[in-house]
Amino acid sequence: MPTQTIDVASVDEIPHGKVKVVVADGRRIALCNYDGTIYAIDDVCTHDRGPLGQGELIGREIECPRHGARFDVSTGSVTRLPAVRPVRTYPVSVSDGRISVDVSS
Amino acid sequence: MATQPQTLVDKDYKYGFRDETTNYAFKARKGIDHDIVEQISQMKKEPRWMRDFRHRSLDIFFAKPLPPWADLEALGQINFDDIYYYMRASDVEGKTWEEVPEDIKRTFDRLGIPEAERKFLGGVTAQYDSEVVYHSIRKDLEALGVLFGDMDTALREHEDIVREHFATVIPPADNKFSALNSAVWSGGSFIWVPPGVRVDIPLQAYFRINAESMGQFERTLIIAEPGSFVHYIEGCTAPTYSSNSLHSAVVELIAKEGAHIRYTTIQNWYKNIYNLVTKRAIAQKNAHVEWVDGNIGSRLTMKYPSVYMMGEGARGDVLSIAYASDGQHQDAGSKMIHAAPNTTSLITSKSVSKGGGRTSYRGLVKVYEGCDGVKSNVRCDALLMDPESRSDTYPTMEIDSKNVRIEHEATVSKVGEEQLFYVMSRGMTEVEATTMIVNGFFEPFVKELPMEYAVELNRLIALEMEGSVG
Amino acid sequence: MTDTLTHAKIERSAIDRLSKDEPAWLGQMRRAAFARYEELPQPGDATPGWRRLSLEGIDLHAPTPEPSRIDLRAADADRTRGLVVSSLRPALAAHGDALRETIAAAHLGKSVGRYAALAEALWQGGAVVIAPAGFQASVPVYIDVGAGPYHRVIVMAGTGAKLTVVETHREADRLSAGIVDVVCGQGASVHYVHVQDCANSASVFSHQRATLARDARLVSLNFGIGGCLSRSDVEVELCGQGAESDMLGLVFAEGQQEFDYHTLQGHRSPNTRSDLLFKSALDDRSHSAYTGVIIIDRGAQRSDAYQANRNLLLSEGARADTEPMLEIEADDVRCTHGATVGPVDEEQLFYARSRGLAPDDAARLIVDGFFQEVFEKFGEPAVTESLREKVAPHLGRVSAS
Repeated sequence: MPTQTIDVASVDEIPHGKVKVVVADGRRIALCNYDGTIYAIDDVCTHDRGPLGQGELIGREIECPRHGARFDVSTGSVTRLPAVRPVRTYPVSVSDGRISVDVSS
Repeated sequence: MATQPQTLVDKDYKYGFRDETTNYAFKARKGIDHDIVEQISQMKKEPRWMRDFRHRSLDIFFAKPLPPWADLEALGQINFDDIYYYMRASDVEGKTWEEVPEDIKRTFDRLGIPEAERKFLGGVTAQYDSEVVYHSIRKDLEALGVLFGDMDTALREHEDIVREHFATVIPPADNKFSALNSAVWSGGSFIWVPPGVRVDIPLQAYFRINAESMGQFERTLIIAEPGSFVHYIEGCTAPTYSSNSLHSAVVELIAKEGAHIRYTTIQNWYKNIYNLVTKRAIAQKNAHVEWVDGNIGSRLTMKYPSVYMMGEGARGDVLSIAYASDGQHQDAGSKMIHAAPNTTSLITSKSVSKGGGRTSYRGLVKVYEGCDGVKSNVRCDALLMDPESRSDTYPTMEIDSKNVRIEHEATVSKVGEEQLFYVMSRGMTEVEATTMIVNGFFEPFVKELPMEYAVELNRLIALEMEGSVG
Repeated sequence: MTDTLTHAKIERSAIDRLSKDEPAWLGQMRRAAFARYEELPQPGDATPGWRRLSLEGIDLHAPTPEPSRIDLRAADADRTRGLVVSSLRPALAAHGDALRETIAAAHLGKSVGRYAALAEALWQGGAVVIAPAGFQASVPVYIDVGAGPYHRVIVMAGTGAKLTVVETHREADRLSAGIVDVVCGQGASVHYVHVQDCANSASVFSHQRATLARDARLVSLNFGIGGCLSRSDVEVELCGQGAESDMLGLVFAEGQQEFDYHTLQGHRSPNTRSDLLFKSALDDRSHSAYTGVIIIDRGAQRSDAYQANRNLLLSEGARADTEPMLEIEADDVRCTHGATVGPVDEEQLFYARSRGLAPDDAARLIVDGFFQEVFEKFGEPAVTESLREKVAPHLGRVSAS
């Protein structure tokens, strides 16, 4: 499957434990820095379809601020109610301090 | 409402840095802030993680708005600064039997409530001596390996189990009131049933009431390991007085594979009370959760017992009744979330409004994609007793799987004249006839209650129809 | 993404141009409606009532106003006997007073949204049908709405009048917003059909409001098969005692179509009756959202209200949301609502196949039967026959799997 990698941000823009929302190929993607590694997930909570990127990172999980749903940002799996479906993740590559995300489906 | 920590009354305390062995001279005061939360946690000698959890929850409470879809006319009257959020039994000001409202006393009489219970329910004493009954049941439970006690003790004695499950069903951020409860919770029940164990006698809240639990912000957690069964009952039909006008409980149920939990509630809080409860269950594969929920009292009750069916073959049932008379609003309902195939949900809701009361049903049946074989049936019936009363239903269905069977039906009607005429022609007065009809209307619910509750409930309905209850 | 496209902003001067040759009161109403439109936000994922709709790729910006042609067909004999069937603007002179009252009341509708306000402000194409007292129409009146973005239709039936109106939308290929007012006088009987059969690129907004006087009867049918997004607010106010309303809806959705219906059965007077039946068949990855409110006012005793929403899911990926609501303040009433969602019934399929039908034909027969109930309740075979013909090619694509 052909990849579709898009440069989205520089590494300095996302400090440890923080989240930054970017737009790539018309999608909103939340970039999360857990322990130095950048992960990319859809900026959409599978519970209420609202933005997820406004949430806090608690360890490797992001918590949706509106109702407390949680997702593991490294796998996208759902780890707490009221969400019951995983969130989509995107492969991330970092080179020369730039972050790129593969949005091919 | 406070948005930053206030300076404390007793200047020895500093928020966040405390020597855990110091004795606290806790001074009850109104309003909520991080200092109160800190004190509560310190007095209970809680582990660090629970203290941090409370503080974080308080911040969430401050940040969240009231739910815009709710009865804001009633909710908006809550003055959050004018409430005691934590009181020990010794803080409760002495109240005499003479001060207990007449209508409550009359109901106690008519329902035949025993003397000791009357004092407790009327708010005259903070202790209810249930130790005698509790002791013998405790022995049986210990033999089975069942853990049953209050939440505070469970946190101290079974920290690992509690930590694994606490707030995994209802996170603090779920809604404003679960956030509040998460910050100031005290008391409530903890039950853990080992795999394969069936607890045949219903466990009741009365068995473990102690001085600390004023019933205001209870936190209940029930965990049924695979293949187990337990039935828990809380509340009572007798009107229950409380000096605290805001009650906000959180109840989390976890039914693991093949387990069965039945949770029965009868709520008859006095008419000055706002009763805002978050109740939710997770049902794993082939597990079964039943909520049997009776709402009779309070000024405003908001309660939507829910079941998240996460494993194939899981089942969720809600059987609820609501009765609202003048000045009351019972805003109840249920949420059934089907997240796995071949899951089943059944909601039966019956409500009666009389003398200007208002009942609302709010429900959600949601079927996620990939959930074939789901069956859901919702049936809401509302009876309006007179032209002053009101009934609303707001059910929602969101169906994302194809091979499912989803049905919903609701009716609103009044007591039929022919029905009344027929019953009265048997020689009953209008009040007796109306009572019989309403009891018949509630029958599917009443027959699920243990005998003594059923008897009390029928008597209470008779009193309500008579209009002799205030 | 729509955020990055630029759209010409509609200026108030557009209204000045429009109302140049119109009565002053109409210009005032247009400006008031435009002010309301400006206050309302563009719908998105977070807007209440829009949460489950897929709005991706749908352009929701208001198009610049342009003339909208409307074709009107009525029997000459009826016109001679006094039936008024005319473009709306020319009719403002001759029937100004009657129309003014109706136009003024339109914005009092319960759920008037952004696009209804827009149509109220900027409509150019319009039609009016007025049946005088006692008039019995011999054949239906047909209103075919052209491609322009904003239009307005008014139907008025005098005391005891009887007529059928069929309003069809086929031309729109972008955003189109229209309002319809149906006013039924005392004892009048009106059959009204709203056909939405627009291009797959169209987003269609329709706000329909009917008011029924004493003993009036309205049978309405909303028929939807076109557009990529179709949002309709259909409200019936039973204002006079004895009024009766039958509201019917039929949707056949395929591809990624989104249909969103909001209905209101408003019982304001005693002894009124309303009966609603909305049916959707959803194929491919289409989506139907239905929200239906029954309100019975405190004094509207001895009223009966029924509401049923039935959704047939024909494929994996099709979705149905339904939200039937009741707000009842009178006690001497009978009120029932029900909703179902499910696939084609296994037993029915089995029965049809045991009669020798191939699986796809069996499924099509069942869907056809599913809609039959709606057509029968509407009556007027000449009208419903042409609707069945519109559904036929879509039915032909239904498969049993």
